[in-house]
Amino acid sequence: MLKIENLHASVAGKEILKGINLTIGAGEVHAIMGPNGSGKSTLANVIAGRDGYEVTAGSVTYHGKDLLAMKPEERAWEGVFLAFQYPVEIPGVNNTYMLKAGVNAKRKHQGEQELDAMEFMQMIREKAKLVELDQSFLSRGVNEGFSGGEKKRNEIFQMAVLEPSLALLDETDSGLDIDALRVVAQGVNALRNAERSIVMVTHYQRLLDYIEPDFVHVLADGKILKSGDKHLAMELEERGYDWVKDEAAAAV
Amino acid sequence: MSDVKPTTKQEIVSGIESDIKPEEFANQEYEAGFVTDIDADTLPPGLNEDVIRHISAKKDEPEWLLNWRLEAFRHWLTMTEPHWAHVQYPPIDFQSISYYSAPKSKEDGPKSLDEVDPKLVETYEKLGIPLREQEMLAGVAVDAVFDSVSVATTFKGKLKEAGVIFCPISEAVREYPELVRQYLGTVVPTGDNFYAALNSAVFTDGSFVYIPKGVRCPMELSTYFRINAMNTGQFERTMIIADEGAYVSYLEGCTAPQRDENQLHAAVVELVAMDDAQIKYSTVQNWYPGDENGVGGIYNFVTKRADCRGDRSKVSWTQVETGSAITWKYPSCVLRGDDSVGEFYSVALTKMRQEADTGTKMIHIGKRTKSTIVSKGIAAGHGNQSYRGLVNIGKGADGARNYTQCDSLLIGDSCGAHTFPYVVVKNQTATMEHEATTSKIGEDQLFYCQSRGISEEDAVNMIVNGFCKDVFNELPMEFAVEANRLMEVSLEGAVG
Amino acid sequence: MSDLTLDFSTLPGDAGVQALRQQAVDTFTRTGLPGRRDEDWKYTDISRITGTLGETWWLPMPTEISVTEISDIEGLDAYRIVFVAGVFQPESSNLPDTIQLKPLSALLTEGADEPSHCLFKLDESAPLFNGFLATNSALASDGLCACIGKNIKLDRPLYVVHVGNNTAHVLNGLMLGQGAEVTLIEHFVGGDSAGAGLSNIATYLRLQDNASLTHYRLQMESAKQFHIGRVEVKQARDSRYTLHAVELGGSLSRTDIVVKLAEAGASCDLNGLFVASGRQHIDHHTRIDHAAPHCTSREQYRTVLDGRAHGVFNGKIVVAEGAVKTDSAQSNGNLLLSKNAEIDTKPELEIYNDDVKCAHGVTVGQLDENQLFYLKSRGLSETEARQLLTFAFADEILTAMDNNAIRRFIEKAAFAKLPNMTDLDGLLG
Repeated sequence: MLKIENLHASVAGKEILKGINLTIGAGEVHAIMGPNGSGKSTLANVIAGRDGYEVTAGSVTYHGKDLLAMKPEERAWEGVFLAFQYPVEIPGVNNTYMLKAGVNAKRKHQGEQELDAMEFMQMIREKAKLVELDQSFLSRGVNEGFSGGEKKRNEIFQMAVLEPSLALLDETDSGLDIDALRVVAQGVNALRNAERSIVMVTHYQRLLDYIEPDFVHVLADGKILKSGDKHLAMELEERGYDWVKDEAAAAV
Repeated sequence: MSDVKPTTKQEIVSGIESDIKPEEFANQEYEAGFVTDIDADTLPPGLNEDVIRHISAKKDEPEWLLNWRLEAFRHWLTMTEPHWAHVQYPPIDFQSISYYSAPKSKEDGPKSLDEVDPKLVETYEKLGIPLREQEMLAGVAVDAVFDSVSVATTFKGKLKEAGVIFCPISEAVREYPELVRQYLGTVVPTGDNFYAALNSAVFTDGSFVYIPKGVRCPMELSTYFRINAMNTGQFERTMIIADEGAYVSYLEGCTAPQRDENQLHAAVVELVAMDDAQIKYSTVQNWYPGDENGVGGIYNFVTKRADCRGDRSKVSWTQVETGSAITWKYPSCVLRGDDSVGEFYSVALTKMRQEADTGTKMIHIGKRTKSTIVSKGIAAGHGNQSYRGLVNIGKGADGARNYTQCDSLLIGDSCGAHTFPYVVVKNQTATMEHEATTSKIGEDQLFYCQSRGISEEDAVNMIVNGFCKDVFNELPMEFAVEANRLMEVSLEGAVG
Repeated sequence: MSDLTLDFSTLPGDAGVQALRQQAVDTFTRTGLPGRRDEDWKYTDISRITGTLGETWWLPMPTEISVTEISDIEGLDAYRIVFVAGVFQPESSNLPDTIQLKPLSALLTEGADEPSHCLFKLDESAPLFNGFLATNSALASDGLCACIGKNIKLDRPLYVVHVGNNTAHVLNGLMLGQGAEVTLIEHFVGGDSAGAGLSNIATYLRLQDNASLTHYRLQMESAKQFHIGRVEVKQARDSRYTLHAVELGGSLSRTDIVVKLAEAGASCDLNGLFVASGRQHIDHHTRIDHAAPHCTSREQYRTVLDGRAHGVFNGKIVVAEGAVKTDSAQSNGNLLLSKNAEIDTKPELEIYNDDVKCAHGVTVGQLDENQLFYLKSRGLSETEARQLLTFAFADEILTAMDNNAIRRFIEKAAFAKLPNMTDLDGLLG
């Protein structure tokens, strides 16, 4: 479904991604871990199409299409979703209104009929329950005055509403207490299905106790140094990242 | 009261449709940029007592008014231009300005739209504000000021029935001299400030509104100002008097043809609200802002003040300021009556090389007087923006309350926003609340919306609209639509 | 002002600690105590302390009351750590065995311990550094020392009671490992007494990645007591710190809260409530340093002042050049119940980059006559109406407290202080 080949990307002239190769199949859950500044968030942002990230080489193919040629909103219409590490506050812009605009733009793009206000409201009320998001959040400004944990839950709520086929969760677990993490993880697990792929970028191994990945990748210094299953994450927790780097260095 | 933040009503942002396509805004030039070729009766540049006598004679004014003007002029000569505002512009040569320009008209002036110069009507139609349509659809009475003389006034009959006087001030001087004389200069005295003195000496026209006791004005009153003749300063004088228990909503909207030379605009607006009276004064200001390099554009040095003379009187100023090269404007309220209320809601946008120093003054004199200030400044491009506000709680103002919120939104890296709140409290029973935020519309917010499937243009409009919502909510409906459209048009190209 | 002339050999600690104590004395000799000429002490005159306690204001003394006189917080289920006159009381305490937690005195007598050394090390360049802190370093012999391990969520709060109405210097240190979650309650109580002393309390808190600390600081000293506090917090990435600072007791109380948001994604939430009457003087200086991107700070203080009480609130927020995407909001509301009560409030924002969101708000006022009238016209008595509105004013701070037992306890204690505020049961429901 998603194929990343030899992806190189820089930020402000500095190369961050130095040849990423990664293939993600439908319905798979991948966890990307790595030390600070290894390029984890950069990878998520490049896939979602954030400005300021320059792809210098390589390709990203999504459902057979060149993802990198699309604008961010087009990627959203095609089913790519990014849960932000730091969800942005947009005061005065109603959460529901923004989502409705997004959902209907996507439906229009896919040649489907736009949802009317009633249908839409019914749909989002259902979805809000999934992450125990209080109804009052629906009518507030986008993330306006939300606590850190509420923002992260709002991200997963938006994921539920936009029904992506590829969800990128950029450090969705950062800044969450254990109880909040459980709620968010339940929401994500409920959204897992055979068609939907999920890529989780995380700084903390703890997340993987709640959302079990099919694959774990170690990203360091702009490259995927090692891939494995859940056990790799446990090994990282015990031994840190240095041994992976040493192994990779020895292999060269 | 324990919550410093106001609880704003949250509702789904009304999706006001714009009929402007993205590719059209790409190089959005000033929409109202054209000059109507009307043969003007214009005085040569320069200012002296003879010029003032000429203006007064042209308008057939009584002796007292001429003397009042001359007194103001003599005072003006002793004053110096103020420089404390956070704006920069080359010195103004007051002798190079022409102080009178009137379109040629028939002896008695037009009595209906049919008699108005067709070119003038065409000008308004180009601007999308056809008088006739407004007459029929909006039910708004329009007193159109074209340059310095009013040439069309509508709905007079209907207003007359209600006892409301709504006419050019020159006409009011002739028809209701006692009323004018009673109030003129009582809110903004001739020597109040440099520009107010200049205005008092040379003002040519403006609107006069009087709402008698207990009357609720049956329609929104509206005036469209234009600046059209080359090198002509405009010095409007507007007066609105709401007698006991009266209510009026007055709308003022402006656009101006494109110009290369700076034009001075120094208006004076005086509002008087008696016991239980209410005046709502809304402005959409879109004068020519100059080009990208700061060439041309209007200098807008305005004195607007309301006197809440009566108990329980209320005045609201709502302004949307997107035009002018330099804006220097502080619509103020003198809260003299007990329990009187002053409000100021403002959105100011500066882009390119525009500079604005704007805000309000709330002078609390009466007991339990209350004021609310909500100021939203948006700076883009190389625009500079200052909020300057004074809240003055006098000794006798027991239980006075003020709530101030000033927010700035920066778009891009080369603009600036400054906040200068002045607070003087001489009464310990007063309650003051002040809130200020500065934030930046960034790639972040845009990208967030885009990643949710919303295009960049829609995202910018959505974000700015959200920021301005508290103020737009205060505007009369048709003005809110216009304000929205103005923001969308003005912002195009400011991001990305 | 006399120098600190104490024989350190009577105080616990190895040579390393003793050397640090000596440095602290030297520092104090140089800086002395702050005076009103210091901008940060402009409104708080500490000659009230030195004038009352005399030249040896710093000298620790045993207290006159015992721990049994102090009642518990009803319904609070917590680990209890008790200090009387600054000395740990093992028999009254109930320590958790799942974490590393020891009184400082034990660590000092057990020999060299690096973490406890750190606590004595002074940084004169730290914000709001002053002579009291130097005195604390020189003289403190006990306090709480704990390290909470990675991903540990402590099942009950740590309830630290400091009992005393004489002079004591207490030094606390708490470190939370990655992902740890803890609630710390510091409770200062004194009961009634004839004499007065100085509680000089320093608390250092370190939060590692993604850790979360909720901190209650309840100052309920006896009426004549002086209280000087310092809370210094350093936060690593994604960590959360919430403070509920309640000031009810003491004659003069001054606390400095210094928070450093050192790494990306950290957030802090400072809630403060002063309820003061008589001639009480309560002063909080808070300082939040936004030193990294994407950090959030929230600060809300409410003061309710009656009689001739004097409140001081100074909230300084510094946003460093690189601290982009900072989101900071501060609000300070002050309710003056009497004409002679006084508040000096000053928000200070220093912002060195333009990609930030900073908001601040201040209100100073009396109970609203219109609201009082409204309530009375609905049948409430003047007293009830005043109670209700005063309560509503403080409510925002109280409802932010997530521990119900403490919230109820503070509600009662706070409003019992105010005239005609005794019968609150019906109000509080």
